[in-house]
Amino acid sequence: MKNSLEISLKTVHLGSAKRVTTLGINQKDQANDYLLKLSKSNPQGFQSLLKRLQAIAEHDSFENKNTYRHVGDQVFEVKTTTGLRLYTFPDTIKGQAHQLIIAVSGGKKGNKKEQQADIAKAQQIKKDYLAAKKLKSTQLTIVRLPNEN
Amino acid sequence: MKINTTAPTEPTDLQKLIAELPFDPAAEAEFQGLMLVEEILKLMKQQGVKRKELAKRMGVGPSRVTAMLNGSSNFKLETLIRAAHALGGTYHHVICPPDMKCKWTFYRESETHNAFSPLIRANKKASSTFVITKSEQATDDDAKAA
Repeated sequence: MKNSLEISLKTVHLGSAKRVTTLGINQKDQANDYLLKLSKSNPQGFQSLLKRLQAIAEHDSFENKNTYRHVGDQVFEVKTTTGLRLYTFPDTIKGQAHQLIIAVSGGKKGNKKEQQADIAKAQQIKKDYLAAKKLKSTQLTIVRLPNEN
Repeated sequence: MKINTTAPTEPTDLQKLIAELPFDPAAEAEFQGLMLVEEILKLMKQQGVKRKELAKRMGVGPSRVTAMLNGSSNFKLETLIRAAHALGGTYHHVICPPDMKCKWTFYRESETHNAFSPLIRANKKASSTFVITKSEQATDDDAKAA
């Protein structure tokens, strides 16, 4: 791994229990790109994903497995009824009050093989993040919402 | 690892996009539906009630419960009332007035100070003054315990 990695957690939503962010490693932020693209190609689907994230962020633990499902290796899939998927994982950062839900990538309901590939990709990004977090030289930035105190 | 927390001078593209989203009743209904389902699922978990049992208690078929918990359907008020009753609770709703925020509180009447009881609230004179009755004054035993 390269020296001096830059991690950027950009807040998408701040709920009463959790902060939802996208994950950028050295400027590469797949979830951010996915959501921006989705907002243009499928505004309804985008809204639906967003509302699901907002509902999850209001709860310490989320029981609705139709919406928020563990898909292995602590990666959770946020799923809409139309088959859109956003892959996330939970994390906490010292000194931060909110638990984090970090979105890493997205996809849609395809065949099983594609879905497994999406999940594997999300798990890999999560691994990269956790490895980067352990390095002393890594710079981690939490980008808050503009109207946050 | 060094940690910075920044408030961006310029919101990110995604933050801007979300802030500028117009009000969408369908999306808001989806959110409220998810919150409701979560309430029901949490009570079911606490009480160890499975879907089949809930359907029985609600007096509806299991498919109605599945549809309700999928959150993809609009809720009928009566279904919500049935669900709440089936779990030993009561259904409440609220419309938040403009410029206000809303927070729910659950409490037990027996654990609430007299000053907050409906009887005292109704009496406007008493509501502005806290009167400690004799029985509530600290006794010597309390002082020793402290």
